[in-house]
Amino acid sequence: MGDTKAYVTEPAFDAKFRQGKAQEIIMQVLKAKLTGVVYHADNTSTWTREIADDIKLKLKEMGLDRYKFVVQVVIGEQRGEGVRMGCRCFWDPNTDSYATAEFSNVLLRSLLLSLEGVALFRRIDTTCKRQNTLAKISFTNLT
Amino acid sequence: MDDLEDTEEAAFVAEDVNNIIKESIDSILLNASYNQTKVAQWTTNVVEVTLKRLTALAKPFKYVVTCVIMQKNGAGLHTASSCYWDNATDGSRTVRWENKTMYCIATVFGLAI
Repeated sequence: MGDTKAYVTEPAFDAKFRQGKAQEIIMQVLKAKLTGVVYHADNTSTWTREIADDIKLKLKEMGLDRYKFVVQVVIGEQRGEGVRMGCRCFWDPNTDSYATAEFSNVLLRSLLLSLEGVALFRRIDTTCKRQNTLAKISFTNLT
Repeated sequence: MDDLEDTEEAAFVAEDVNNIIKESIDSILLNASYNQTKVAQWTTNVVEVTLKRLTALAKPFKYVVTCVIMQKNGAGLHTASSCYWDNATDGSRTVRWENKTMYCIATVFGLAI
């Protein structure tokens, strides 16, 4: 091959972000943290932070070392109001992906958990030319 | 590739992004009042307009844009995010916007490639 160097430009098959697995992680954390709790304005901001951190830690344990992660948590009180969430990303759909989960109990609604895994691979020509459109929507009017 | 790594080109400028988000929300929600049938369209539009303007900056970034619109009726809403990334290059920006009938919270995450 002479001077040709080999660069890794894509994650190996077993080192890709798996949507289903990530979703399980989110759901686990949500159930552990929010089962049976009641909405309280003072506690909830702490919960959101704790949940986001927990999920991030568990993701790091998955060993996807060429990924960056973004975890977003939204918790809302259930009072019959309408809420809508949308998300759109500009990334490479071959390597990057997302997972969402939603949890609600009688008095508190953890509206929506979204989580994105963004891969770090540099691609000189194709980088960010593709736009992945995804709309995550959660509309709830439970009462 | 080296030139891309030179300072400003590759940095996430929080102020610029802040303005972009604010202007995008204003362009869509100004003078609007909460309407169940329209929120879906609004959230989509807000993220779309924001993302379009971000990509127009032509920086080596991947973006994640989220937007929550909530009706105002006294209920609380909390949001938090936790990220695993390179602090030197990546960043996020959240804008909270409100009028008489609703809240709109939009967040942009920029991740350097």
